[in-house]
Amino acid sequence: MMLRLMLIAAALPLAASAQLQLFLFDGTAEKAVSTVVDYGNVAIGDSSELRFRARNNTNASIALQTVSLGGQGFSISSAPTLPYIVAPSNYAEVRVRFSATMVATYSATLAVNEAQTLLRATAIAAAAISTPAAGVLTAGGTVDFGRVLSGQSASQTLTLSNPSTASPITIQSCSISGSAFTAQGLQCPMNIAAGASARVTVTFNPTAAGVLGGTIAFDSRTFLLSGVAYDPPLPKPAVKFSAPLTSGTQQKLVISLETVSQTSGAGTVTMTFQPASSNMTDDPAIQFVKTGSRRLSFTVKNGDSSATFPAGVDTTFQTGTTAGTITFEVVLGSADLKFDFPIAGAAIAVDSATAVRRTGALDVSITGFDNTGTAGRFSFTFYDSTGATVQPGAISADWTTVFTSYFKQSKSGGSFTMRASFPVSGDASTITAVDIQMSNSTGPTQVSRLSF
Amino acid sequence: MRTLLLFTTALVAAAGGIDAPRIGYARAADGSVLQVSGVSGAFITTPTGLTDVVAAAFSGSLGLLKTNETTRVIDRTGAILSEIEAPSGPAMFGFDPTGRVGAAWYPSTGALAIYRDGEWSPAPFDPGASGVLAITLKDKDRAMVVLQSDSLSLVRIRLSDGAVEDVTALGASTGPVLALSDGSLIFQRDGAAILRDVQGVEQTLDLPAGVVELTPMGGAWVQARTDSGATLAVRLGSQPRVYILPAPSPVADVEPSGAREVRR
Repeated sequence: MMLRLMLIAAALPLAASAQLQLFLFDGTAEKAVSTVVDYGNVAIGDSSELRFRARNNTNASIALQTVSLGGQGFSISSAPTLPYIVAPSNYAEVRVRFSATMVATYSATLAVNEAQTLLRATAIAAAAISTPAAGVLTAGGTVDFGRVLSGQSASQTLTLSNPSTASPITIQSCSISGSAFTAQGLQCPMNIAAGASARVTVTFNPTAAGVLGGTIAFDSRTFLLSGVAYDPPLPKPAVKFSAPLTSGTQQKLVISLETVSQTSGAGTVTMTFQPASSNMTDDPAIQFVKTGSRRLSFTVKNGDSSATFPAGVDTTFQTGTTAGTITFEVVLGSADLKFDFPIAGAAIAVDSATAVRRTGALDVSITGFDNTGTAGRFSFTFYDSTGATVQPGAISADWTTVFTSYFKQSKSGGSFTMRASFPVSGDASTITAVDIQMSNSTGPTQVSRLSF
Repeated sequence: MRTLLLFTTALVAAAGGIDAPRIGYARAADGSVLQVSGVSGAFITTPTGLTDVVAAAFSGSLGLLKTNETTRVIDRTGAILSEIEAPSGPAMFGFDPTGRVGAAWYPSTGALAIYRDGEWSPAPFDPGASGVLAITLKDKDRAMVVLQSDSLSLVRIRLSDGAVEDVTALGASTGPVLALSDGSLIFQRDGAAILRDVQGVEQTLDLPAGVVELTPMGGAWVQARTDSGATLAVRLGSQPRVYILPAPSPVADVEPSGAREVRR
C-alpha cells in the first residue's frame, strides 16, 4: 500500500526549484523556524526533543532528498526514509533530540533539502532524580504509585543526587500538583552539596476510585505522578436463616458478610425453586413478603457485617408448601453466589379441619398442604355419642388420582382444601365425631378428632 | 333407627373436591383489595382490581367494602352483589355468626344499616356521646357494639328499636377494636393486643405495637395494619398465630365481576 502511494506521488509533477519550509510543531500548532532554534537548558542526563516539519506549501510535489545534522549533542530520532515525496500541502516530520553528558553549550545545523537552521542547547548540571522502583528518571518521566485502595496511601521516595564531586546544585523552585498527591521535604531553594543527595517523599492518598495524576517539578524539570485508586472489594456474602427450612413457614433471612465491609454497595438476592417431584409445579407462595416476589434488593455500608434490607437487617420470606430446593442467588459487588437449601418431604400438614352435619350427610373439610404431592390415601372413622365406632368402622379411600391431578396443575403449591361428603341413611345426629388419617409418601398424619 | 354410612371414592370430587385454599380478602394500604389464598405461613395475595376502598371487612361468605361514597357487597369469589350510595368517609363493618348477614356503621352520620338477603335496611341506634369503635351481629335480632367514652364498653342492642339490652365494661383501651361474630373482641391495653373471647377469657396476641387497623379477613383470620406500614395476618383460635401478609404478587388472576348499578 505504501509502495502504491509513493508511486502515485512520484507520478505527480515535481517542482523544479521549490523549497520545503521548516516549521516547529509543539504538538498543537506549527511555528515557522527562525535561523536559530534554542533548546534552552537541558539537564545532564535528560534529553529534549523538538519536532520539525518540512512543509510543502507549493502546488507540486517536492522530493525530500536530504536530512542532515552536524554538531555534537544532537541526534535525529525520527525521519522519513529518503527520498520521500512530499505532496502539495503535506509535510515530512523530522525529530531531533538533544542530550549531553557534560556541562557546555552545544550547537548543530539541521538541513532539510535546502532549508537550514541552527540548533542550540545548553547542558546544565542538575540533580539526578531517582526512585527505588524506577531508578533514575529523566524529565517527563513518571513516578508510578500503582493501585491503591481509596482511603489508604502509598509513598515513594525521590532521591535527588548531585553527581558532581566539585560543585553544589541549587534547585530554585519546586512544586507539586494533583489533589491526591502530597510531598514531604519539598522546600526550595534546595541546596545539594557536591556528591550529596536530598530526599523528597511523595504520598499518593486517594479518597475516591479513579485514575489520578499529578506532577512534581524541580526548576524546569517536570515529572509525572500517576496512581490508580480503587474501592475495596465488597465482602463475600452468605445467607443465614432463623431456623432450618421447612415447608409452610415464614423465615427470616440474613445476608451475613465474610468480613466487615470497608466500602458501601448494593446487591440483590433472588430466590428460585425447583420442586423435588415432577408431579409438583412451581410454588408461588415461595416469595419475599416485602415484595411479593422472589427478588429483593439490599445495601451494604462501610462497617457493616451484614446486609440491610428495606425493613432492617433481616427480611421475611415464605418457604411455600412444596418439597424441593430453594436457591438463593446473592449478587454483591463482583460476587455472584448461589446457595441451595433443600426442603425435605414431610407428612401432610393440617391447617384447619371442620366437620359439619347436614340433613342426610356428613361433610368433612380439611385445609392443609402436602409438600410431596403424593397425598390421596384417607381413612375416616366415625363415632357415636357414646364414643363407639360407627360401623362399618374405618372407611378407607384412595383419592391419589384426584390429588395427583390437582397438584399437577396447582397454582398454590402443595396447599389444598379437600371437601368430602358422606351420605347418611338414618339418624345422622347419632354420629358425633370423626377421626381422620391421611398419608403421603412420607407417612401418615392423624387429624385431631373432629366433632360434628 | 340404625345409621348407615354410604360411601364411594367419588365423593371427594362430587362434593367440590380439592381446591386451592382461600383465606379471604385484605385491604391494602393503597385502598385496593387483595385476595388472600394459601395456608398459614404460605400466603399468596393477589390484586382483585377493586380499588379506592376506605374500609373493608370479610366474613368468608360476604365482603363489605366502603369507598368514599358507596358501600359494596361482594361474595367469596369477589363478585359484586350490591353497591349502594353511602355516607361519605369510612365505615365500620361486622357480621353475624353465619357470615351471611352484615352490619355497617357510618360515623359521619351516625347511621346503622343491616345487610340481609341482598338488601340493606336501616336500624335505629344512638350511641349518645360515645364513639363507636366496633360492631358485630350477635344474631338476627341483636348487635354488639363497642363504645368508647372514658373507657371501653361492650353494648348489646336490639336491632328492632335500638334498645340497650346489656352493657359490659371493658376498661381503658387505646387504638382500634375489632368485634368478631363469635362474640370475641380484639383491643389494646397497655400497649398489648388482647383477644377476649365470649366468656371474657383474655389472651395476649403477639402483635407489634402501633396497630392502627383491625379487619376481619374471613374465617378465623384477622388483618392487622401497623403505623409502620406492616400488614399482618392473625390466625385466631386456641393458639393464635401472627404472620406477615406478603405484598401482592405481580400477576393478578382474580377479576371483579357482577358489578351492579349504584342504587340510590
